[in-house]
Amino acid sequence: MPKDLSLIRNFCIIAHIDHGKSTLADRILELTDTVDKREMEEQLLDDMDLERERGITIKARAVKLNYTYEGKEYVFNLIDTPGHVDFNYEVSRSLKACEGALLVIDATQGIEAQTMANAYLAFDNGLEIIPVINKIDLPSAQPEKVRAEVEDIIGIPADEAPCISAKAGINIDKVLEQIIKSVPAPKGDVSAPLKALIFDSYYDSYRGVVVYIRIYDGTVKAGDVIRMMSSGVTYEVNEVGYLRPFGLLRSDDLCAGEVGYITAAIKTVSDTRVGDTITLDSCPVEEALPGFKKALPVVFSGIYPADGARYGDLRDALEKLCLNDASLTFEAETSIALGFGFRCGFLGLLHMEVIEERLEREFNLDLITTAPSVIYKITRKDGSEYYIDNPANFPSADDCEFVSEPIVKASIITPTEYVGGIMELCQDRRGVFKDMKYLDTTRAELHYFLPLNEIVYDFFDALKSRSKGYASLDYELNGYERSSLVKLDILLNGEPVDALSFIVHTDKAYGRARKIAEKLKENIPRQLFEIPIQAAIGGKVIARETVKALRKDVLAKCYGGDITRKKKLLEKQKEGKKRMRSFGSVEVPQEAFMAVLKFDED
Amino acid sequence: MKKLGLYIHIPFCLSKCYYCDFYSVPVSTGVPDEYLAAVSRQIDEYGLQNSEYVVDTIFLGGGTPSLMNEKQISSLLKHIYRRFNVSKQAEITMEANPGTVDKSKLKVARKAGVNRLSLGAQSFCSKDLSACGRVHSVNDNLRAVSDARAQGYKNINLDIMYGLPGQTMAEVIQSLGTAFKLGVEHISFYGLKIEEGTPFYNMRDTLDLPNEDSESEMYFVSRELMLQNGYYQYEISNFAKKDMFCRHNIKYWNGDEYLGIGPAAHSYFAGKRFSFKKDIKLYIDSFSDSPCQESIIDEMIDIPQSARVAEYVMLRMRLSDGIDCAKFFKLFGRDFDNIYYEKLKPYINSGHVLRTSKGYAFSPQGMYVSNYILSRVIDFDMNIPGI
Repeated sequence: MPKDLSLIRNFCIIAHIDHGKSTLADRILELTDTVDKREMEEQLLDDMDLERERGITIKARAVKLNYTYEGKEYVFNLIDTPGHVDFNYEVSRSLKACEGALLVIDATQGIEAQTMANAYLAFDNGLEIIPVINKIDLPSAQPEKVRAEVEDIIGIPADEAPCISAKAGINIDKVLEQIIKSVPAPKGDVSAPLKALIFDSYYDSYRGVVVYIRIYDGTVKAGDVIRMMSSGVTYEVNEVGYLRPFGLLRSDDLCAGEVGYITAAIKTVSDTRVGDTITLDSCPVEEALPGFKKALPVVFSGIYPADGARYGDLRDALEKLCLNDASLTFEAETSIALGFGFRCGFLGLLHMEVIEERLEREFNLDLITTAPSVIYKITRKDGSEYYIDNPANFPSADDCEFVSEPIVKASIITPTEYVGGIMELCQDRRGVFKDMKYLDTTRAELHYFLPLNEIVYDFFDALKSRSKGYASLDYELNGYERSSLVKLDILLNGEPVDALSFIVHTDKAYGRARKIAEKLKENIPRQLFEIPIQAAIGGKVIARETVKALRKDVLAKCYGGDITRKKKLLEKQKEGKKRMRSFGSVEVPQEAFMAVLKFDED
Repeated sequence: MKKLGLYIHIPFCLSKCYYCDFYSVPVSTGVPDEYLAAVSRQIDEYGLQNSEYVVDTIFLGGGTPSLMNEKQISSLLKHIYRRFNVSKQAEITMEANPGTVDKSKLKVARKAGVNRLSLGAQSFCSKDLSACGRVHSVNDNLRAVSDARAQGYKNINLDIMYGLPGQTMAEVIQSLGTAFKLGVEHISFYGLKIEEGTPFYNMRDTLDLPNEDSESEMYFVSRELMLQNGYYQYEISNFAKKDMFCRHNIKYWNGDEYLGIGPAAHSYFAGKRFSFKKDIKLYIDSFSDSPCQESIIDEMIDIPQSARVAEYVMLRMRLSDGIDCAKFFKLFGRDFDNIYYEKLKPYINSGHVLRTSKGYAFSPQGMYVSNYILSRVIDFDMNIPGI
């Protein structure tokens, strides 16, 4: 049966975090009768535990819905996208698969940094944007003010923007009507060579990788031999079909304009890079879709099992996560201090936290992680360059002309009363002010160039605390800049502990060094000897603390021959020792590593 | 003939001291006869079955054994002599609270065979005594010692505590000085430890307690003073004039056998460590004409030979003499160095463990951090080939 493209609408929902994107998706699913209300779980599309808890979408999702309007049965393909800056590239690919976007704005908050960033992304991808003003049921909602903001700040007409409450289910039908009226139907030539965009994939232990695609031209069906255009690798398609809320629905074929999935016995998601173009091996398109790039990690950290014996378990866990996460990288690494572990690369801090949490939760691992690092560029005396992501590889002064660090262009939107504090924060984090715009009388947008290594620690938290939670942040990488960086080494009892080293700007080295030495002192228990804690740059000690020698650890009295009590006490102490790492004669508890990582400015 | 120690627990006190987490209940009317009847019955059960043992130490502990009246003291001991084969040279200790002991009790006890008196003096500063909730005075301490001497006690111990709230080094020295002047044979010198479930535990945040460093200083200065005054340190907390150490106590550290009688009492007998529940009522019921169903046993652990090795090391190392390698070989048929030398080596190098003529012992500094070291040297689950 020929498919009528004019009845298809491919759209996504974009929003700043917490503006109600996933709730609106739930309501749309209900209203299109795709999901029975009784079967509804909150945030149906966010099916990872972590996503539900944090209220964020980590992986993109897609779903095909049916909606009857004025006697015609429409097909809606709703593509859910992640909302965090770490996943900007994924967002852009998801947008690429659509013709329209619902831009959800919280009527009590107005436009935020990610509202803007996402709106611009949608523009760049040529999408029709439908503003949707959400949470109008809340007493503090100001829908008319937000409507004006949309027109003034983003510059799109908003007079027809539906005012809704996704939570209360108000005016959802208006949203659906707008989708039909405003989002263009997909175009495409069914008889042209196959041209399909990969916008997501996941690993299924029975089918192999399930690839989510949007077809621009041509048709694909089971038995076709397809080719990944970035790698040239070919696969025979096992199955094609549509994405339904509760699973996959097999179909005979997928045609131009449609959104669906294919399986082809693909073993890992890294063979199906998001943004890549799929074509037919026998009759390929000449040019791939533009914009493909491999998502590259920008933040790196060493991850070690707290119990060295679980190294193998950690490797298995990372391998499993990689099946589903092409942007996570890891390679074996050895630390003198921590033994065997892995150097892992992440898209950003949130990505790192999510991975660590999943490792601990889903794989029941106890981890020690090292301070996150970015990728530094080292220029040798002879002018040649190389990159490092591990402080251990930081060069000595005689082999290094200079070091450069990655810079981001950050956009911060904040109520004006917090501008002062935020500027102070950015200044403190070595930010270079670019400009500031007043969005309206109450809110400003600040632009700063900031070193990435200053925001990988706790910048986001600091920003939130200085703005009572109101400021929002978006950033993108903006090349490298030469900088005065040094490696700070931590020595315990005169021995450097590699896992505690990190790279820091010269101006910050002293403050950091003092703080870390203090934190270590708090967290390292007394031992038989005095333990000097030193922080040093290239052999020069710049901060020092001392853990005094243990003076007393004895059970003075054993009541009436109660030997068992003494035994239990010793066994408890033995257990405590198991959670310690030994460096030479010094024992360091796991908490000490954690304490050094949880570094705040106050 | 095998040697055996007997511990009799008298779990009654006039009032609970603020630091004490031993099992005892406050009474104002003395020790109930029905309790001692149960004790007698337990003695009957043991005594009849274990006649191949010679009892060479008896320890009446508490609680407050001196709460017993004259008749109770003498009939308890007489009963023990009837049911056990008690050596003529046996060391028979009674603990006494200086506030509840008088000439008459001391006389009866001495006559009944008690030849060692352990007085819970704790301090010779009134401030310290009231800070701990002790019911006696400094004068009671002095009087108890002179009364005991008058009744012919030639072996007297004083418990002295240090590290008490608000206590200064000078006050600790003062208390020890008084003990020296009194010429007691033995001093048990205990550091205060705040135990859960005690009144001190509940007020721990408001107590003015010495820190680790000053407590350690108190210990080492006191230790030096005691050595200078003729008290030999034979165990972490115990000091005695020549040959006057507590033989009963040493049994615990030597892995010797002892039977505990009374609720909360611990025993090590026939390769088993076991203890009774902390429940006077249940204890009385268990040793009555119609015993109840519930077992009085709290914990019963079979000590396998390999764990016995680790236990032996843990216990012997509390003693200044430490480990005698030849004795160790005799007991376990294994070379001590073979099992432990590598583990002890870092601590030998650091001076915390000493090589003695016969084996190994803690240095005074090592002794005071012995938990730290032992928890790194000893393994109760260790698999020693051939054991």
